[in-house]
This record gives sequence, C-alpha cells and structure tokens, in this order.
Amino acid sequence: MQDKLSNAETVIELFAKSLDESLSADEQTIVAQAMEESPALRIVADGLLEFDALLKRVGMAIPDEGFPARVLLRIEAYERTRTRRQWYLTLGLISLGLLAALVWLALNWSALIQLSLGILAGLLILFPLALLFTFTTLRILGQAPLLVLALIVLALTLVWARASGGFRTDVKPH
Amino acid sequence: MAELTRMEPQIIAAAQRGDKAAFAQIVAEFQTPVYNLAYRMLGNRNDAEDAAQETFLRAYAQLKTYDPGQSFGTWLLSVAAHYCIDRLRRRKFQWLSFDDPRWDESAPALVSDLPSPEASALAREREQEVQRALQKLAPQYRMALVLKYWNDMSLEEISSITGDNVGAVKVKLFRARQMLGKHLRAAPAGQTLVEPNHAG
Repeated sequence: MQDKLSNAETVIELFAKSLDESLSADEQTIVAQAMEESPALRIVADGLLEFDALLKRVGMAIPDEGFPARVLLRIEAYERTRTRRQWYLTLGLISLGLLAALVWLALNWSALIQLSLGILAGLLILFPLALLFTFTTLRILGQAPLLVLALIVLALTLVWARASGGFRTDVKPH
Repeated sequence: MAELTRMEPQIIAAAQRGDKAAFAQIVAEFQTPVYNLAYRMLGNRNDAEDAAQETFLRAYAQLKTYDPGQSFGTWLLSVAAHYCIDRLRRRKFQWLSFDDPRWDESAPALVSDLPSPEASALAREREQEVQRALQKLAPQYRMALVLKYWNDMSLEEISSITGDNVGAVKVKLFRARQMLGKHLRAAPAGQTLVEPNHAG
C-alpha cells in the first residue's frame, strides 16, 4: 500500500514536471504506464492539465493609459529631491567644518588672538610696502623719503614680531 | 503567455547615460509585464500602479548596476519582484480599511484578442477567479506561478529572480499548482472554473 502511494506521488511529480520541462524517455514511459494502469492518476493528471491550460488563458493585466508619463513625472520629482538633498549635504559638511574650526579656535584662544594680530600686522606691512613700491617707482630719483619709509617698515616689523611672539626671550632655544 | 521583449542594447546604454527619452522607451516597452507582476502579487490596481512606478524609479536609480550580459527583462522583473515581496512584508503590519482609497478591488484591463463581448466577459470572470485564488497563496508560491505563466520564464530565469535553486523552484511550482487548484475547486458554486473530474 505504502509502495503504491509513493509510486503514485512520484508519477504525479513527474507529470507536474512535464508541465515545466520535457521528460526523459524513461520518465515518459513511467508516466504513460502509470496513467494506463490507474484511472485515479489520470484524474489528477487531467486536473493538472486543465488547470495549466486555465492559467495560460488568463491575460496580462495592463496599466491605465499614460503610465510612462506618470513614471517620468515621478522620476523628475525624485531627481529634484535628490539634488536638494545633495545641496543640503554639501552645505551641512561645510557648516560642520566651519563649526569645528570655530570650536578649535575657541579652545585655543591665544592662538586666535595671535592669528588675528598676525593677519593685521601682515596687512599693515603689506600696505606700506605696496605704497613704498609705488612711491619708489614714481620718484625713482629722489632719496629723501627712503629713510622715513625704512623706519616705518622697521616699526611695523617689530609690531608684527611682537604680536607673533618671535622675539620672546623666555623661551630657551632647543 | 508573453515572452519578455528583448531591449536594444543601444537604448539601454543611452538610458544608462541619463537619456530620459531612452528610459521612456524602456518604460513603454516593459510597462505591461511589470504592472502585471505587481498586480498579480499585490492584488489590487492602486498598489500595482504604485509598485510598478516604484519599480521603474528604482531601475532608473540603479541602471548603472545593470550588467548588459544578462537579460534586461529578467533584471527589471527581479527589481519588481523584490519590491513586491518587501511591500507584502510591510503590509502585514498595516491595517487597510475598506474606505481607504488605496483599496480598489476592480480588475484592470487585460491584454486580449477575444472577438466577442461574451468571450471577453467570460475571460474577465475567469481572470477574477484566478486572481482571487492567487491571493490566497503565500507570496513565494504566487511569485513562481506569475513568472512561469504570465512571463513565460524558464526555471533558471525564475531561479535567478527569486534566488532559489532550480530544484526549489520546481517544488514551489508543483505546490503552488496544487494549492491554487484546491482554492479554485473550493470556490462557491457557480463560480468554479476548474470542475473536479468525476470520471472513473
């Protein structure tokens, strides 16, 4: 009895397999023989065949008119959102960098002062130098203002050096 | 049923470079298989429309990852299949009221070459019955049947989409047919499309 049942199951499986792929000659013989011998198996096989045919007759569902246009609209909306998101990300990263720099400067307050003074002194030196250059070019033959300008430059250099701590005497050289 | 169209590689390459007109061509070409898969899996028109649109959007965003060595149709349906499975998984945790506008049981139009209105009406009735029975199957069985019967896919292609091995696909198809057959036979009297055979 058990053998018969497992044999019937094998035949049904083989029959179902035949709906998806072709059977080997041996398998075809087994199925044909079983179908001849057992009316019950034929009923099951007919049911499977009928059902297979039914599924094959059901048509494809189609979307409503204008589907591609709706997809393209969705893609455009997606691209707008993506571009905006990328902008926010870039701005966020820049802000984060600036914030980090500010925090660092706040924690190193003296460095901030030195930096500010350095920038100021640098400007104070550069500006007269530019003036000097112009002045010298214009009055290439005159020597009188040279001494005055040299003194100004010397003074500004001292201010800059003082601000940047270049002349500190309490720091021993290594 | 309907074999997937072979897409011109030039069109795909153009779409990969960001050519929207080329992508629109792809959408026009594949809208029916993608929509049909979504409809068979999700069971209603609104969800199917949304899922099909989302599938194309995802395909557009991931188009650069498509390997021209494989079939474009299979790749696209794989995107659709995974999205539908995800959606069904999420749906388990959602309560959808009958008043919800997303709930729409009306059947969509079908690709049909039937000549008479009677034949069309019969086809529609048959389609609704199959659709109802299909919704009673577990998603993985439903997927195997849809890919096999509506997209004419080979066992290997189904296996590449579902991630199962070919043996597992065969088993799923076998069981899915059995279960679907039971559901169709158990339909209320007068609606049964597959009559049990009493011969013998």
